[in-house]
Amino acid sequence: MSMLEVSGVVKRFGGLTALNGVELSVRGGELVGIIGPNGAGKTTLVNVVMGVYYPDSGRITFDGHDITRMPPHRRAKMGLSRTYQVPRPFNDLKVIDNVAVAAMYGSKDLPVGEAREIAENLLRRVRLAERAEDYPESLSVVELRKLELARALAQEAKLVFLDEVSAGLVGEDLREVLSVVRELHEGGMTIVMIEHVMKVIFNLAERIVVMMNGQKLAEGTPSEVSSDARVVESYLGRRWSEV
Amino acid sequence: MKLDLGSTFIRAIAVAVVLAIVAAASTIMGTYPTLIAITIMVFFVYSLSWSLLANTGMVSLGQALFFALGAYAYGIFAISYGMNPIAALFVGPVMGALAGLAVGFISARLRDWYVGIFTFALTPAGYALAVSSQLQPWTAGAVGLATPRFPLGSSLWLPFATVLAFAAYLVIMIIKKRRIGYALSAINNDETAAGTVGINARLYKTIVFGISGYMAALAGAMFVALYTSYIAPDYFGYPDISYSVWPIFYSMIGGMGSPEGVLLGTVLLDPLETAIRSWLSGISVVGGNLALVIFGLLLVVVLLKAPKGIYGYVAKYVESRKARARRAAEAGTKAEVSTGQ
Amino acid sequence: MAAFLIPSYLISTTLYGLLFTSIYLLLATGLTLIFGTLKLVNFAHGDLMVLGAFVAFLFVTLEGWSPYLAMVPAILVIAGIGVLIYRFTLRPAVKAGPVNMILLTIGISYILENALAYYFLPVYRTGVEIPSPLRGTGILLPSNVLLTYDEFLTIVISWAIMGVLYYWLFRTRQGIAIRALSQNPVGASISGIDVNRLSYLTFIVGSALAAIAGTLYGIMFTFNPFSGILLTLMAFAVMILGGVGSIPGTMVGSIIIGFATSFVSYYMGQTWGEAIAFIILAVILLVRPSGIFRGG
Repeated sequence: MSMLEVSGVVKRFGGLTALNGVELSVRGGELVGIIGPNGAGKTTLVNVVMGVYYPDSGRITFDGHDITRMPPHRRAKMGLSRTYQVPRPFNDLKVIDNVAVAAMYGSKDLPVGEAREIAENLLRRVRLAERAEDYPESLSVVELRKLELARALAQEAKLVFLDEVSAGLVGEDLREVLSVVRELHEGGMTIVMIEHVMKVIFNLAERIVVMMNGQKLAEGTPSEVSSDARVVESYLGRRWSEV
Repeated sequence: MKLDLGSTFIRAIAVAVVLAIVAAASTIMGTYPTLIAITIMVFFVYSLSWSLLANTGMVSLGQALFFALGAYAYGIFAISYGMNPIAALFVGPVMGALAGLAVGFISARLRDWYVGIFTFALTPAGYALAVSSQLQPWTAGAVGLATPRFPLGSSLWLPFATVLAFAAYLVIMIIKKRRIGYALSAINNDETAAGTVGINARLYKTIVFGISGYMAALAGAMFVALYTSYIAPDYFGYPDISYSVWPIFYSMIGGMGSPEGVLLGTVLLDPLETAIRSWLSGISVVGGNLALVIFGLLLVVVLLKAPKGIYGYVAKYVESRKARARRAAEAGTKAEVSTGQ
Repeated sequence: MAAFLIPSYLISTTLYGLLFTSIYLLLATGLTLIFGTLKLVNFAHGDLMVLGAFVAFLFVTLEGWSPYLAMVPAILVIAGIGVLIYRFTLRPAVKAGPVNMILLTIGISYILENALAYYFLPVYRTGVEIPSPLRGTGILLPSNVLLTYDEFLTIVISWAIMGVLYYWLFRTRQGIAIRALSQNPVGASISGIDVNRLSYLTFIVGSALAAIAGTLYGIMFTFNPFSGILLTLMAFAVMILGGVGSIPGTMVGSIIIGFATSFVSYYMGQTWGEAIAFIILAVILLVRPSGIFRGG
């Protein structure tokens, strides 16, 4: 019984076809990775699922409901959340309030006090607590990414899209973020990770979907996908199949 | 809305004190200063209504629509329907709220500058209605409407206005502190991201327009009841856009990010503007226009050099000092911890 | 209702429709050119038009020039003022965001109107019209409607200028560069186009169009320092209706609003005639904010 079902979704922008009949199915509790080259349509797919755009054709079903043309805020209420590839914090709100506002309006409607408590805990979890009273403009890129993550989590969603959450992170920072993701997965949250780089999700994802040119190219476990001839040829290159 | 200089309580007390001092000083100084103080209160409420919208990402260039609606509603209810003027003062602005909801409903769907154009375009329409022959029996057309004396001892007018001004301030503070305030800030910064976290931007924008409409209309009603006792169609900010520009002016120069900034702008500029305008009008018939040129220049300069207004400028400075102090304290603690190893 | 069908009324209303169309067309095209290419919302555009009318007026009344000749100094002065405004206030403000830019141009509109009023009101009171030697003469149309030479020239000149503009935008290197800039600013600058010079050029052309529109308007109608706002709004209504940045759209928009204004003015009075443009604007914003044609 899948939690998220995307079928036959097409999205065009003027002359450009970003999504050309995408099929995706995500079961509750899964950690799915979506990889593909730039322009494959990964972020557009997230945008369509989240309601930033409506598809030209196709259907999106979440938790049994048809959300194809549902406004974004209602999808959030239903339990969908996401991080943005380039962080989009609320610049006039303090870090803690950035996270708190998501708790106030996410899947539940919480009052200010309770929301701020949840925000505090989340900030501690992503190790951003000491920046709670600062404003986003004084945060580093790494800290902004953590803020994105904390804000998405504050919604207490059922399914979260992480859009290249690891981009630009190395070493300790990368390990921190990935361990948070792993914890969430172990706690039962359904996670869809969009990634550029195979290595990051190879050990994390149960299933990987490869996208190219607005369509699903291949799908399977990480090892299946990395040895799939089509994937190797068009995206990964020989090196991966030799691993 | 980035300002957190002190707790809500302290800020409220400060504002109450400033308002009280302005009222008291003006009363002591005489009739004319008292009248100016009344306009300060009126324009404070009016400017708050504008900055509420601006801080939700909607720039209204025709706020005078609601201002004039409130003025006319007050006049028409009191005269044509015989309502007690004190009641009319509060009931009239409901028309402003309704108009605000209608305008907000459309504006919520529009991108930045379209909202400005839309609200700007509504003011000539309001003017046309006010002078139209069809509504002449109620509005007295281009001639204007004279209203009866407000049924309160005239020495109580300024205190009354002051209380209303403070009440408007409290409303804004309450909005800021509750959930809705956070949502409005988020909408202002990034409407799409706000939608992602579950905020119904369109609904909130519409509601905010309704509140703003009431406040602006209340200001208009106050303007008539406690100051001019006269309603003219040019209150719609057409053809002279002054009535739409003043709230923008006071808010932006004072610092629209916070109601205290708006107060600063109004208290500083309202008397200044009145003084300069009457001085120049005394010198020449078109002195008033010259004064407006000066203020237009001031607006342009402020927009270019200090877009966050005086208050914003100061607040930013204080905030960066605080942040630096915080970071220095952390660095100190971290150093202790590592040497303590 | 039968009055609608009286030929002379029909003809003269149509005539006025054509007249409004022509003038709004020039004004709105200037606005859309500036907005499409420079992403600048200019609320003072109508005031530039009124200033242009006033400059022409001065040359006609003080120097005795023909109004059509007076268009030249009007264009020069307004283009000059436009460049100053652009250079010293608008260009630095682009990075401050569209909101601040709108407010800025409102401030400028305020300044222009009141500065003009300062000189204008003591002498000219409620309004002036540019006198024309051709007044009262013209071609007699069926049903005894007079098409004055001034009206005829206004329509002809407007559309002739649109023709020249079309040629310039679609057939000359500069024009094509400007269109490229409006469609793809980043791409344009990478291809070696001098964005800075082109921006100035665009603003000059836009302001010149406003000056021409102003002179023609001033010959036909009375104006005063505060006429600018209504004109700015009309131009915006035309621009939004037709689709921002699209010149064919502006043509369609100006035809719709020009004729609507004329017919509603005639049958329901001038105030409603002015209001109809805004009613159309409100409806368009509600239904299809991107206009009839999309930008380009």
